[in-house]
Amino acid sequence: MNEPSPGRDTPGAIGSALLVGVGVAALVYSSEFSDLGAVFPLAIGGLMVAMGVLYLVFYAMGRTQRAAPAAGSNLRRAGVAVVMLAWAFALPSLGFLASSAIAFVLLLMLANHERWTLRTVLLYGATGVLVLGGLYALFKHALQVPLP
Amino acid sequence: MTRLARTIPATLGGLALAAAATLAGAAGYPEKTVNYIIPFGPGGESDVSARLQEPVFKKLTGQSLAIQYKPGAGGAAGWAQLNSIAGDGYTVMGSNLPHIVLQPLQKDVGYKTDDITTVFWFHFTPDALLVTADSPFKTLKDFIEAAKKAPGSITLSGSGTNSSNHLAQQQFDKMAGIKTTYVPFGGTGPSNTALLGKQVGGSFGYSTIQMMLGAQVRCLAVAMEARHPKLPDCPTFKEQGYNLVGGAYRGVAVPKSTPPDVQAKLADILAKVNADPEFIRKMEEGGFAMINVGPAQMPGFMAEIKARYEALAKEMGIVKQ
Amino acid sequence: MGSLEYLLAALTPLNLLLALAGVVAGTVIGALPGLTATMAVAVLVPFTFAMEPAAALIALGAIYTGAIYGGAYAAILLNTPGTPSSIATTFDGYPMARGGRGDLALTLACLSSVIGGLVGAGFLLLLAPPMATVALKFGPVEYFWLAVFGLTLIASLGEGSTVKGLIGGCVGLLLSMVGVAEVGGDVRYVGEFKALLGGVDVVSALIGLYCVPVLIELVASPGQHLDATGRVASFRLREASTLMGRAKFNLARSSVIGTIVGILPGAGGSIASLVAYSEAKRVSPRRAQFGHGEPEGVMATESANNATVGGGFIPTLVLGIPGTPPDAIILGALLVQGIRTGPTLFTEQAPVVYTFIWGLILATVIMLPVGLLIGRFAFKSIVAIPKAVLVPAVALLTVLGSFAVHNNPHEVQQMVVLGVAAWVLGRLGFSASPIVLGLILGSIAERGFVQGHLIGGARGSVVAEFLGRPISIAIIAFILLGLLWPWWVKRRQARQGQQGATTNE
Repeated sequence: MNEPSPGRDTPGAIGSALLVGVGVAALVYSSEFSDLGAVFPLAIGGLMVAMGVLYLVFYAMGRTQRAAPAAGSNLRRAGVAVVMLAWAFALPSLGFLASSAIAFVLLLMLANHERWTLRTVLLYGATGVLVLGGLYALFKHALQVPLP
Repeated sequence: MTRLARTIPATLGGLALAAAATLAGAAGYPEKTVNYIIPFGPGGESDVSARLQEPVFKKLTGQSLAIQYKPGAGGAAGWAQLNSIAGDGYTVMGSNLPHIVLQPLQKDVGYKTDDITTVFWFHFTPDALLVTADSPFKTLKDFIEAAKKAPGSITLSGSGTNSSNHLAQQQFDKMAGIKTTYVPFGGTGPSNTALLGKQVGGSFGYSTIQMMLGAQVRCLAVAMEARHPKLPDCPTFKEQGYNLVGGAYRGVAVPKSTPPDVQAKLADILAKVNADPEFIRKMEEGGFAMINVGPAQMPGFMAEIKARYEALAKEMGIVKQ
Repeated sequence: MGSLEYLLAALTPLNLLLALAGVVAGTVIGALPGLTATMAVAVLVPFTFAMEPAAALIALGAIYTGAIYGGAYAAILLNTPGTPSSIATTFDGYPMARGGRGDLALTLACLSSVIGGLVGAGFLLLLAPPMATVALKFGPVEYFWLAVFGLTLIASLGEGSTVKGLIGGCVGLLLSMVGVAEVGGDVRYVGEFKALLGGVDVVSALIGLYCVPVLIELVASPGQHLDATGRVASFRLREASTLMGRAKFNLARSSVIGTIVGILPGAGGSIASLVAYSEAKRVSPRRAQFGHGEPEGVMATESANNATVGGGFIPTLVLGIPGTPPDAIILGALLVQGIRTGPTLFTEQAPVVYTFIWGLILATVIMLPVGLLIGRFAFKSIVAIPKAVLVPAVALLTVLGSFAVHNNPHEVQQMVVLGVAAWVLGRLGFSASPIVLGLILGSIAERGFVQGHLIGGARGSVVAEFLGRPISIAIIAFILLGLLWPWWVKRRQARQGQQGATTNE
C-alpha cells in the first residue's frame, strides 16, 4: 500500500512509544485484578512493552523504514473523523434521522471534490434523501430495529 | 336537591371516568410489536423459553414478540441499560435470578437489584449434577466417595462464575464435605461440550440440559423438592439427604418508568401464557419447571429470594468489600 | 442410498423458492458492511415458525450461506469485511480491486464459495456423526493453542514490520480483555464507562477498524474509488476457471480446513479463512504476492468460510452444540419447532435432516448463477457511484450496522472511536488486521488458558495438561512449522544462491 521511502520511521517510533505507554498503563491497572484474571493482562501488557521497546531500539539503530507520506487533503480527512465522532455521540440526543441527515450532508460536502453545480446539488441531495429514507425504512420497519 | 346530593353523582361520574381512562390506557395494550430483549446470547435457556412464549403471546394478543439479544457481562450489560429505555411497555427484558441479586453484591455492575422491575416469573430451571452416560459415577454416593478420596481432583463444568451453577457447586461441596474444582464456561453450550468431550469429570448444569442431551448424560441429582415429572430417573438432592433446592429463575422485567396499569396488563398476559396447556407441555418436555409469580406475590417472593441469596453470598464470601 | 429420495423431497417448488430467496437475501445482507450472517439468520427465524421443519432449515441455511458469501463484496470493493468471515478476503481482494481486477476477484469469490459450501455440505451429508466426535475432542487447551496459532499468523501476514504487527496484535488482545472477565468475574479496564461492561463488541470493532479508515482516506483526493478502466465489466469466467483449475489443491485444502474449523464450536468463518489463507500462502510458490492481489488468497479464504456453513451444522445437528454463532440461533429455532437434536436426529428424523442437507446443497448450487449476477451488479454500481455519494452512504451503513447488532448506541460510539484510532495507527504504520485478530482470538486464548489451568491443576499437572494432549501437540507442531518455515526457506535459498554462485565461476 505505502511504498517505503528513505529515512527512519519516525511516525512508527512515535506510535510505538505511545503504545508502550498504553502497555505500562495496562500493567499498572492489572494489579487490582484477581490472580486468574491478571494472568493475561500481565502477559500481554508485558509483551506489548517489550515489542514497543524493541521497535524503538530498531529505530535508534536505523533499521526501520518509513512509509511514504500520504498525498491528499489532511483537512478533509480530519473533517470526516470529526463528523463521524460527532454523529456517533449525538445519536442518543438528536435521534437517528436528525443526526444522520446532518452528517450525510457534511460528508457529502467533504467527499465532493468537483464543483457544486445546481445539477449536482439536486442529484446528490435527492440520492441522499432516497438512501437515508430507504435505509431508515428498511431497518426501522422491515427489520424492526428500534432506532433512536 | 341538596348540594351534597348533586355532588355525589358528579364524584361518582368523575371516578368512573378516571377509572375508564386508566383502563383505557392499558386496554389497548399491546397495540404493536413488543420488543423482548434477552440479555444473553442466542440458544440458551432464556432464549428458548422466550421463543416458546412468542407464539402463545401472539395468539392471545395478536401482536408479536420481537426477540433481540444483548449479551454481555453475564446479563449485566442489558440490565444496566434497562431503566434508560422508554417505559411504554413495548420494550421488555428477560430477568434472571440469582443473577440480579448476586451481581450487584459482588461489584459495581451498573445497576442495583431493586432497579430491575420484574412483572412476572414464569419458570425456573433446577440445578442438576450431571455426568456422562459412561462415567464411573453411577450414583451420587459414588461421586461423593471419589471426591473424598482425591480432594480437588474432580472437575465440574458450569455456566459462568458466581452463577447459579457455581453457587450450587459450592453449596454442595460444603454439604457433602468434599472439594471439587469448578471450571467456569461461557454458557451452557460450552459447558455441555466440555462435559460430553470428557474434558471435565462432571457438570453442574440444569435439568434442561438432561432433556437436551438425553441418553448421553446421567443425572446424579436434581435440586428440586420432588422429582421432575419428565425426569423420573433423576433423584433429588433432598431425597438423598442433601437439602439443596434451587436453580435459575427467569422472568420478564420492564423499565421502572412503565405505568402500573401497563405492568399489570403485561403480567396478566404472561400469566395467561403460562397457563396455556400446550406451552406448559413444551416447557416441561424441555426440562423447565413452571412457576407463577405475579405482581401480587412479587414483593414477598423477591424479599425471600434476596434474603436467601444474600446469606449464601456472604457464606461463600463473594460479597464485595 | 435412500438419501436420494430426500433429494427429490428437497426439489419441491416451495423449497427451491425458499432456497433462492434465502440466498439472495443472505447475499445482500452479508454484503452490507455492518450486517452479519448472524443477524441475517436472526431476522428470518420468526418467519420460519410457520413453516415445516425441513423448509425452515432450508431457508435458514440458504440465508446463512448467502450471507457468508456476500461478505466478500464489501471486502473486495471497499476493504471492509461484510462479515467477520471475510476479514481475510480483504488481504488480497481489495488489492485486486485497486489493480483493476475487482470483477475477477468477485467471480473467484463466488466460485470458491460454491465449492467450499459443497465440500462442507458433503461432509455433513456423509460423515456427520463421526466428524462430530472431532468437535468433542477439542478441549480448552486445544482452543488455547489454536488461538496461539492464529496469533502467530499475524507474524506471517508480514505487511510491514513484523514487530509492529505483533504490537498491533497486543493492542487487539488488550481490547479483548475489556469488560467482565469470563473466568473469575473481574471487571477489567472499564473505569467509569459502564457501557464497556459487555466488552468491546467484535462486529462494531470490525466495522470501525476497517471501514472508517477507508472512508477517511477516500475523501482525501479526487478521482474515482475504483477505476473501471473503460473496460466492460464481464464475468471473466474463462480466466477465473483457469485460475481455479490451477488452484485445485488450494481449494480442496482450504475447504477441508474450513469444514473442520466450522465443526469446532466457538470457531467460525473468521478463523477458518485465516488458517486457510496462511496455509495457502505458506505452500505457494507465489507467496510474495500474497497480500498484494494474489487470486489464490481470495480463493482460499472464500472456500474456507463457506465450508464452515456445512461444517458448523455437524455439531449443531449431531450434538446439539452450535458450531458457529448463526448455528446457535438456528438451534433455538429448531427447539421451538420441537426438533430434538442429537445422534437420534439422523435416524428418527431422517426425512427432515436429509431433505435439509440436500436443500442446502441446492442453495449452494443456486448461489453460483445468483451470486455472479448480483456480483456483477454490485461491481458496476460501486464503480459507477461518485465518491461524493459513496462515502456518506457507506458511513450511514456503518452507523446502522454497528447499532443494529445489539440496538446499542454505545456500540456506534465504540465503532467510530476505534475507527479513528485505527486510522491514526494506520498512518503510524500499524495496520488493522493484527488488531482485529487479537481482539477475536484474545478471548478464545484467555478462556482456554485459564480453564486449562484449572483443569490441569485439578488433574495434578498444568504442564502435562498443556503439552501432553495429542491434538495439542499437533497444533503446537503447526505453530512451530509456521514460525520456522519461512526462515528455513530463506536459508535454503541463500545456500542455493551460494552454490549457484560457486558453479557459475
